[in-house]
Amino acid sequence: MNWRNTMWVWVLTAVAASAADPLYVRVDQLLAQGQAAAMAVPAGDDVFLRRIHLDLIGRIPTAAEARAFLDSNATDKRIKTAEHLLATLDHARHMARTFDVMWMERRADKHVKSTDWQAYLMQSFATNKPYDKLAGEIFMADGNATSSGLPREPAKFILDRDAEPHLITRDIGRKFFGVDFQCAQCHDHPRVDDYLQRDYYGLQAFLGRTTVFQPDVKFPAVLAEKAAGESRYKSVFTKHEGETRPRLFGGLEVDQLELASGTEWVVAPDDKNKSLRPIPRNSRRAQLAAQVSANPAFRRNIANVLWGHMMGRALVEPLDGFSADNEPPHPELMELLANEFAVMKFDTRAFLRELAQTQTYQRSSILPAQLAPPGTNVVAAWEVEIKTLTPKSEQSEGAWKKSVATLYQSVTNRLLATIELDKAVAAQAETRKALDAASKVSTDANAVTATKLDLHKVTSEAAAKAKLATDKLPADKELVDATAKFQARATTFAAELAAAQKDGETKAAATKAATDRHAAAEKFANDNRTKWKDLDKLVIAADQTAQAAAVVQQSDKFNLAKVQRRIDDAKAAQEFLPLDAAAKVAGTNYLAADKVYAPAKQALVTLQAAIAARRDAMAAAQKLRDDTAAALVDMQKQVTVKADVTKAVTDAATQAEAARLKLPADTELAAAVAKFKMRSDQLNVELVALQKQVPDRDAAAKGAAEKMAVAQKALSDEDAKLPAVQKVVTDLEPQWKTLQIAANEAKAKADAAQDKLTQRWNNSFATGVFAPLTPEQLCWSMMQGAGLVEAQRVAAEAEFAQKNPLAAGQAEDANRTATRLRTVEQLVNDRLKGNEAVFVKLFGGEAGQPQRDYYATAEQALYFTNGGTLTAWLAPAGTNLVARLNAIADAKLLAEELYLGALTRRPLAEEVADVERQLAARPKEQRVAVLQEMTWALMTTSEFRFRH
Amino acid sequence: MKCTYECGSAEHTVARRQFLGGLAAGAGMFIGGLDTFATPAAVAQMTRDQKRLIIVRMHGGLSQLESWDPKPNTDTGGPFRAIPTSVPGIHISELLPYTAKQMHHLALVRGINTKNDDHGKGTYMMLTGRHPTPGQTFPELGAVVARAMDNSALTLPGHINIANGGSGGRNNDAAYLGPKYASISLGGAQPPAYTTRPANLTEQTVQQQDEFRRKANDRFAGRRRTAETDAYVQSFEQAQELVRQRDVFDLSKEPQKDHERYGTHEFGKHCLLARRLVEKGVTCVQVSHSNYDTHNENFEFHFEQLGEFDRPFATLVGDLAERGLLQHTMIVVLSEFGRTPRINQYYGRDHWGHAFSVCMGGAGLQRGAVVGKTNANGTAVTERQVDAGHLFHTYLRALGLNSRHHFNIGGQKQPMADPAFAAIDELIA
Repeated sequence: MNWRNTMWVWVLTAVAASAADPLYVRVDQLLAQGQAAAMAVPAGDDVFLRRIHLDLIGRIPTAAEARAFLDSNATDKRIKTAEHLLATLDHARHMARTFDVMWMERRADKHVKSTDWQAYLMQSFATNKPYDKLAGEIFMADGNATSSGLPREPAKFILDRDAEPHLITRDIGRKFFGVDFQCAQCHDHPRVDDYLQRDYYGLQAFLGRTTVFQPDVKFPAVLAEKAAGESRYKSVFTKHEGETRPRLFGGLEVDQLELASGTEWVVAPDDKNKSLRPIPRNSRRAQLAAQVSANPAFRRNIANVLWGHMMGRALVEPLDGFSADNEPPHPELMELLANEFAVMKFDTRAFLRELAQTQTYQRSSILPAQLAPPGTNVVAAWEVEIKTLTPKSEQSEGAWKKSVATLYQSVTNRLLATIELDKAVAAQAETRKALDAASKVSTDANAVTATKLDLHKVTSEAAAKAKLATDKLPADKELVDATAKFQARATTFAAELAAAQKDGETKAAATKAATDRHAAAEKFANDNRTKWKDLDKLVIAADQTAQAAAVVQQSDKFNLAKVQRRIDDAKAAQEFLPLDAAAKVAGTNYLAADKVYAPAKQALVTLQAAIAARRDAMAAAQKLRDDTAAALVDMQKQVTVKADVTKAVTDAATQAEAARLKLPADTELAAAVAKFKMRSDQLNVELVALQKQVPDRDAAAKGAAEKMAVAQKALSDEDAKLPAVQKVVTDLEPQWKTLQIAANEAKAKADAAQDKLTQRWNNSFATGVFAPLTPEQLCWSMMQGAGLVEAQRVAAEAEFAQKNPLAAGQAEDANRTATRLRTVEQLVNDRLKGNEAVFVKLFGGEAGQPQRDYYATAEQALYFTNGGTLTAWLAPAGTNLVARLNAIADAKLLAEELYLGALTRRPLAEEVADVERQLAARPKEQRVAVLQEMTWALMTTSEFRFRH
Repeated sequence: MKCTYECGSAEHTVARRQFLGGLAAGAGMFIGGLDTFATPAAVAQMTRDQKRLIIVRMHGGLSQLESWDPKPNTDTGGPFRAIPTSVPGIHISELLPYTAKQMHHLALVRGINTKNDDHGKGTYMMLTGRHPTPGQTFPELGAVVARAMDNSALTLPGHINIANGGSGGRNNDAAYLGPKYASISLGGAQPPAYTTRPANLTEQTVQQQDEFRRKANDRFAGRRRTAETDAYVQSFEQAQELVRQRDVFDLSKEPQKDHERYGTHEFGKHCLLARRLVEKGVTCVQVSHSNYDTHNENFEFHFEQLGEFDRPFATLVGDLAERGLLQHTMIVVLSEFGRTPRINQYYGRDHWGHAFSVCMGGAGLQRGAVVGKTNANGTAVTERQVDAGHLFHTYLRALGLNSRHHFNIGGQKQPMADPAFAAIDELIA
């Protein structure tokens, strides 16, 4: 193992990777270059297997899978397993889940059902749809499969956000370009220098024309887009005003097709038909879809997302925090991944495969035993490097800021030109209107002239003809009169014609003037347009300069940060080592002291217990002594009293007998005397009986007194020991206490330093990343560990076989295999998915909030303990884990199955011993309970809760 | 010998926790591993000094004219009189006679103008201290306070919402602060979710499985302990503590006499439960009273509603003061907005966020103070106009927090309160 590690390090550092090398080699190469000190050793097979399952299919492997993998001798088993998992539908499901949570952030459904959307994502990942195509569909889909040619589901991203222009701008920025522009809506970002208000509105220009279209709530909402509307903005701080065409972060403004008025629509809006959805010829969202794959921010974002998905931590965290001031630990690596993913044509599966094959992915999450931080001279050299890099970075930042100022000036100039141009165009429209009016008037006048001309012609010709006639018949008065009338008419019409002709000329002159004015206005507008175009060219040029400057400033900042990170890493290691050593020494010292102190303390405790016991015995003896003494006294008292009475009665009997002797005939007296005699005898008997008890009581009292004396001695003997034993403890205690506190403090300091170090090593991927499971990963891993997933899979297979029987001897063809796999996966998912909800509620973030934070709450623990679910999963049934364990008699084999099933590893010797002890300690009838307890315990450990 | 360096004797445990407790203060993350909790005395001390918050939410929009800012004998004043309070010079509506006697513990802000007349937006503004922005949801006051006050010695949930319904899980009011600080609904006589052991779960099983879990965790922590694993391990200890303390949520443990003093209606019970919870160390408790959305018959309804509100609220304030809790506990009575000075044709008042009031008291607030003023008939703020954002800063400051601080959320700084506003300094004691 050691030899291989050494080899591997040697290979990485000695041979520079070239572009011809596979991506995974280049990744490791770049990472190794960036490290300050030793990286973690490769992870064991068990750690790798658990990790690759969690990352690629979202749950741990079964015990059987773990056993097969661990027992395999194949040298390529790691990459083969990765490839196998990547090809499963479980992988597509896991990716669909991951991207759903990332993009929708567990929002409540609004217009598109989650199940439909997830099925769409699942299908996309199952067919390994190129990522840029997937993103393009999300931007372009309008919810109407017929008009857009795209399924309805991808429209969920925009539809379920109600196409709120600022919300979708912000979220598309966050999710697809890795930048959170939130604050840049109203001004340049106050905390992130390189997010400009202009960037926000550039993105917004793609989206601002989109609206939700739902004229009738009986039909599903779709998206509509307007044909006009530009993004103009004003900073609430600096009052800088600008306007931008659609433009992606890190890109240039996109030229827009100039459509002649009236040709902007494929389906024009119709005021009379509100249920008709207008469709513009020029869709801004389609432009967005067309733009993204070439955009560096878009590429970087997805490379970062996929890296984070695989490695447990993204290169740039948070995912939407990419900026010059939030450097990735390995900037060259970030660029390499972004570019290579595009070269791979956004093939997600191929990309993940490369990542799985890196040593970086396969590194242990435990800090290296030998950190080997660089010497102070090396760090000092880095610090010198900082000194040269700092002014360079400041200079490029200054250059960038200057270029932005120039850009702003050009944007302002162009905006002013836009305003002028708008005015000129409006004026042009006015003159056009005037010209049209004048032309009409002129045309009308010409029509009048033509009419008059016609009348004049007819009447004058008639008059001429009539004159010829009257010339021939001058006497015909009637004819003469008629001719005169014709002539009169002709004269009138001649006059009218002359007037009309004059009017026509005036109107024509007016039209000519209007034409001139319009031509002038047109020229003015065209001049303004030319001017605008010139200014626009300046904007684009200034933008290009600013972009270039941004790249330089970012690169300089990243280089600076990279060296700084290396210094900080080295320092963290240098700080940790003595603290760790100190903690170990303090711990050893404390243990040594405790070795002396603990038995002394134990002796004291034992002695104190003995004294307490003796004191109790003594008290008991004392009580007995007192009781027996009291009993003796009592007896003696009774004897005295009895003797007294007896004597009196006996005396009385004697006296009575004397009297009776003097009066022998008195029978009554005789009877009385007999009574006295009888009582006296009786009392004497009683007295003797009492007197007989006295020695017993006396003996008891004496015995008790002796016992008490013994107890007293025993107590005082022990008491006498106390000062000596106490002294030993008292003498040892201050030192012990001091060492204990010192050990605690040293351990706490070392822990804190270790936390910091672990964090730093994690951040630079020098160790495998330690990260909590997502709610779904946790839920599915628990179900897998308990055996639910496998049970459902077996049941689904059986169901499929029953419904689709194969004829005897018939082999399954590829079609049937595909259908079977699809059906089984779907059934298993449908039947177990419901369990996710509680996990999401307890372990996830709130709806609409980022979902990657970690929370530990008492409720989570209470759910596992008292919620009933986990306990129910662990009830033995079929071939689930506890049922399998119950069937294994040998404790050692049982322990192996338990650890493989729950923790994807074989147990350590002491763990096997624990299992044996646990089983032995309880009666047979509690065996199942013990098995459940142990499984429950392993599934609720940190080892289960985290990816490591 | 049981006592080893790693897991420690009882003394060791307490010593380590106390040391680490000091180290971790303010980090918002549990550090400490397998240890049980600090000594009861230390917890008791911590519980006494910890700051707490009670929010009384008057749903629908309480009329400022029938409560904190009466304008009797004006065209907008309505039929009720103003009465003197325990603070000379401060008059409030005659609908609040008991509260009037507690005025020396309270303060009034009479110049609130949020320029908003919408229920949803108003509630959001008053509880988050922010103006609604698309694409961004901010955490509510209770969650912010629960998070800011969190420390490893607290074993009870930090944020409880006493509701009319049953006891449920977490509500969505913590935004990016996460579910740990979202309020837990507590209704009826039910303790929080999962604090009851199922009948088929024996104490032996619980003990055995926990012991096995601890052992496995110790082994894992030997090489891979992080602040996150510590927090996870700690959450199980907290859970057990919570089960032990279930009685905290049991209102029937309060004396009958107090039940009578607070009244048998829901709001009375809720106020009594609020008292019990803050006394036991819950950081933030929300109580609600419904419904003040009196577009019709404003005066009838306020007469009824405030008649129910007045006594239990005043009793709560009085009890907190008497028990020495008020110096650590801030109480605020708020509404999404006030009601229009203009009385409509249905004798109602409509939504009005342009000149209304909030009542608050306790913790670090000035007692018996009034800030802000409206004109003679209450149609406009004339003095010290404030927005929901100012109030939010003020609440935090009164609880001893620096409202200019940030939370660190996944590597991003999130200001505790809207940086565009500031606290009402003259209200801070």
